[in-house]
Amino acid sequence: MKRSIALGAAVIALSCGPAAFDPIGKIESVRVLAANASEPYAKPGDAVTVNIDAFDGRPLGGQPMKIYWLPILCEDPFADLYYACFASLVSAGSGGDGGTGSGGAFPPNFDITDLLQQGTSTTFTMPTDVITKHAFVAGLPEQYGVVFLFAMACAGRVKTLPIDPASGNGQTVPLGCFDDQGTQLGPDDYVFTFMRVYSYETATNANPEIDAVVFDGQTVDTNAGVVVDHCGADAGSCDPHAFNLTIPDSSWELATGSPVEPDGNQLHEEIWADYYFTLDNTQSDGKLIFDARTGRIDGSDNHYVAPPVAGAGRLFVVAHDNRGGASWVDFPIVVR
Amino acid sequence: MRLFWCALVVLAAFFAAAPAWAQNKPVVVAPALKKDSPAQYPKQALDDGVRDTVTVNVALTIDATGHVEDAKVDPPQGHGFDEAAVAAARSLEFSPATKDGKPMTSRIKYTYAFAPPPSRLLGRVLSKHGERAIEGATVTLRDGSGGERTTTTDATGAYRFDGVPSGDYRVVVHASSFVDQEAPESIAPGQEVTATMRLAPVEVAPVVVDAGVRQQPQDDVEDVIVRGERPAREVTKRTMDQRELLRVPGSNGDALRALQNLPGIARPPGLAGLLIVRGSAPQDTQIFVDGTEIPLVYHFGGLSSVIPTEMLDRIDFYPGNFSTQYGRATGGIIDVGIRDPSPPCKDGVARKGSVTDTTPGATCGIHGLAQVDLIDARALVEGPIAKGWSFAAAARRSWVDTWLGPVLTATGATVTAAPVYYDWQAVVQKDWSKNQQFRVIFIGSDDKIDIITKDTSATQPTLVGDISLHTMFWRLQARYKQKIDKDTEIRLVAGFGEDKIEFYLGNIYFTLDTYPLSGRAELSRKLFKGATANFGFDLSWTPYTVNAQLPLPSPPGQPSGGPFGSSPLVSTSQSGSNYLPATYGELELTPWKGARIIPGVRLDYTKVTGRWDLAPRVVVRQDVGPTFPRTTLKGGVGVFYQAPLPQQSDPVFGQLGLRSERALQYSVGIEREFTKYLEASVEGFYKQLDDLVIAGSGNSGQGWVYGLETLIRYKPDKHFFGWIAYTLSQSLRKDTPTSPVRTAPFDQTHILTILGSYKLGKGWEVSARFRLVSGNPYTPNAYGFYDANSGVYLPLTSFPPNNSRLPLFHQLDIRVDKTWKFSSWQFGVYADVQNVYNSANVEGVSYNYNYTKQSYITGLPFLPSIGMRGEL
Repeated sequence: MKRSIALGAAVIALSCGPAAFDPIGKIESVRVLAANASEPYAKPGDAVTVNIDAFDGRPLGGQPMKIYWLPILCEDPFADLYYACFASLVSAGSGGDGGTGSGGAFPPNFDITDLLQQGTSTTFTMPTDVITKHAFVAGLPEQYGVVFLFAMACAGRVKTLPIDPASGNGQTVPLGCFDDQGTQLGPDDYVFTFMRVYSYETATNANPEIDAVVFDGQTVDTNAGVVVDHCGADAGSCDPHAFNLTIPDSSWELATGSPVEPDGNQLHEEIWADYYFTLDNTQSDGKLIFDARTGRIDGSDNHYVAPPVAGAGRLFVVAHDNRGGASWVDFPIVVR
Repeated sequence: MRLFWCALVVLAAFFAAAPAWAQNKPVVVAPALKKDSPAQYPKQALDDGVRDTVTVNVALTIDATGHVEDAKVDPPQGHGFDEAAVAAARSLEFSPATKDGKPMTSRIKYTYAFAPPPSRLLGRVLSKHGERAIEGATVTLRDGSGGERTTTTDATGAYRFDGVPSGDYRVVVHASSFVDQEAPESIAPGQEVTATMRLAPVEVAPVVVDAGVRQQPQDDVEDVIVRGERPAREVTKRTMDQRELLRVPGSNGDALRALQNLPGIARPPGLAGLLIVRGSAPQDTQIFVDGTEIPLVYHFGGLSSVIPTEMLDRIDFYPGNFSTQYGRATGGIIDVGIRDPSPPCKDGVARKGSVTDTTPGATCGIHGLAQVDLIDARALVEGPIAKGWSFAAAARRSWVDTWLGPVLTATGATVTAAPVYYDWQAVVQKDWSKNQQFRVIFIGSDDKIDIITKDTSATQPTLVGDISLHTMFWRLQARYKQKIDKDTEIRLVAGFGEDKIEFYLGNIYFTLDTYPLSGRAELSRKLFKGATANFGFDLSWTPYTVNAQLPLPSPPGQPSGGPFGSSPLVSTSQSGSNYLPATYGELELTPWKGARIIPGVRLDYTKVTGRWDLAPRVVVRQDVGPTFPRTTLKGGVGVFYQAPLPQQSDPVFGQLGLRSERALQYSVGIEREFTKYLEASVEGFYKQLDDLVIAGSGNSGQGWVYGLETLIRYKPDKHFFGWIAYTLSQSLRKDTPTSPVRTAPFDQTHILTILGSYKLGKGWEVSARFRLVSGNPYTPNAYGFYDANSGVYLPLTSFPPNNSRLPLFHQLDIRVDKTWKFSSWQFGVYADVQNVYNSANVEGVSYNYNYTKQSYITGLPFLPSIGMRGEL
């Protein structure tokens, strides 16, 4: 019962908002927008392809962004913590464990750019013993295994960084992005990303399907994009353009283990959409499409607000489910 | 005032007995007193609470006619003694000093000894239920040696004893058709003590008020204007007067919120109904209602407590080193007493229109009140049912939802729902005799909030959709108390109820339904003079059903591996019961004057751990100096255990094989009265916490809390009350033997509260509270990683946790009350304004989506609240 006190406080505290920041959807730097696996719940031994959706939105450009995949497949790290894999990335000669099983690979301050696979996708084989190696977890409908993949979207060269033993929690980023002069670049120029891919013997999960994008009531040709009029100086007087994803009901899968709540509700996945843009604004950063209990949400449209001047940009929409599945679509938007 | 002795004669004795070789020296004769001028014990000294005998030395210059030419005090004594001595000395008359027979000016030292005026005991004798004056009652004042003085009451029921020497007395009242009444009184020198005695009729036996499962026997004496407080059995027990509880600004008249202004309680974060006692976690402090534990004390967000002030008899707050009657907690204890349903009367006459008769001992009529403010509306009614039976019932409902929801909608907020809460209390009481009472109470609380949010968060995308939280509890408690003989008393309390939590959020749910049954039996017996023993047995048996599907928490001290709900969910569905029996014993020893030594031991069994925990404790208090103003040295040391929480010992979400958490508590301090109203206390404390349950690491945690609590308090007088409370403390934790020491959550180094209230007259009262508190600790974040599964950035978290602190908190709250009194009812309005100067107090840190920018989350802005209240 005591737990309720904190929960209550947390819920109430949601109404106390901080100062407004730039929305997550506004792309003005190197950004990774999403990643997915061909099988978010892969079976042991399956070949799995992982794709990344990234975009370089730096207004001043610079050295081109590339995506580099780290050549490790981190299995069963301690407590499923992604940063428990880091030690194996840089520990030279120690064979580092960290629960990774991959061994130490690079010494600190080593330029590994040319050793890394580049591109928006990579493929690996799910280890056959990934489930049995994973620590037993009580209360699961089915035991699982998990592997972590790491990538860096970097507008420069990738070098290893030393792990500071004094950092305590082992969370020090093991890689840095450097320009040609050897200067370490900042958050606008790189993103260090990871992805989990789960493995079950029987449970399955599919990435959400995006049938279409509907913009102002019309299905969008994602190659041609959409054309809108610019707003006046007063953006508040400008009619926003409603748009949404068309996701079929079939994508609203049962939650893992088909759980039923005490009050009898059959639980499903949550599916939501995140929105990113390079030219002005959307009214919401993300919209819930399917609720876990009540299903499809009415009024899940987002709205695009055009800038006061003409221009061209892109609008990105990523559909996520809460079990690691994702799909995305993007299209050009021209403001007249 | 009487003169104690006078006149030191300079050189006179020497010359009178001078040897022959000195016979040629002049003969000097000292001045001699002709007319005395006694001095009165100054009023200022009495007002200041001074009651001791005080001597004042006055240097007198006496002229050649014998008149006092000048009088100077050396050294000054203050409290009006100096002025009184000088004024009196100027009226002294002397035979002048002579030299060889000729008068001369002389200087002498003259001493006034001020003895306090004799004490006085006065009061009235009234019928208990009718509050009517009893004429002709015999009032006997017995001293410790068996001496007695007797008087009878007049037509108004008044009695009076003048010239009472200081000491301990028994006041015995006898009146025909009424049960004899007896009460102890301590009378300090010069003190005027007023004690109103209320007698119960013979046919309707008197009530023995018992405010809890184990209190000192309380005598039927009320309205005591000046009286010695009963010696505490704990190192520190803080209580607040009803007026203090109601008038503390910022608490909206809520007594349990007002409690947060006392030393030892940290300021909870904004809109968090938490009690953080001496650096302990909120769940380490237990809350009882008349000895039966309840699961929560505040409604959602700490807006108000689950029991309204109108139903409270008392709040006992024990910040540490509490009695062995309490266990299963390593923090503090709050024991809330529900008051007896006592139908009020005015001037001994039942209120007009009430359902009452006028025979001696008859009860008064129905009494009620209604109050409404921006937060909630409440009503209370109480009165007699039948002979010896009485009742009280109250209920409250928040109505924030009816106006906040539309406001949020109008402002475009994405969350447009507001919480709804109810609470209710009912008491039925039967008084058989002074020595036998039975009471049943039924209390409960219900909080619910349902939110549908369609916009996802940039950092917690799964916290979206249909969110529902419902908490509820109720308790039915029966209490029986009987005094078997003059030295033996038994007390029985049984409670049964239900606790319910229902939480739903997306794929996540948690429901818990428990039916706690608790019982307590106590025997108190006076063994011999100066020694009383208390023995008890208490039991808590809690059947439960829990259903949950949640993500597993991150290991302690480790940053999260992803946003909430990003890892596979685990679920549990279990039914069972928890069983916590305990027995305890305590001796109250008073081996010498002013001393009170209370050794005790408690033995707890916990089904979850399968262990017995033995907790010895001792408390020592020693009064030093005079009875008034009292000075008390105090100290205590003890062992305290707390069973693992249900979620900690759950086989899915917690760990098996746990032990109880343990705290060693030490405290030492001093209490000092300065005047009748002004008192101060200083107390140092140290807590060593062992075997703290750490997720995934068993009982590997340790903790240390140490600090100093200071309270300067002016108790309510006719116009004013207030206090200054300051706590200096530090609370540290270490999760595992290899992890670093970190600051505990909610650790606040400095907590200063200054508050006061003043009655301006004509029903106006103005109150103010100022708080200055260290900011809460927090863990800074920086740009780190992108979790591609969830589409969110995860921060690079600094280490160790809680290594930074938010800015200083400071806030001024003001409350203004206006009350109109009519012949049979009264009506009041109030305005309670929080954060008068709109201080932007920081309650947390917010980051942008990738943790490259941060800003502060500020707490409540300038927030006025108004309310009205009618009382019949």
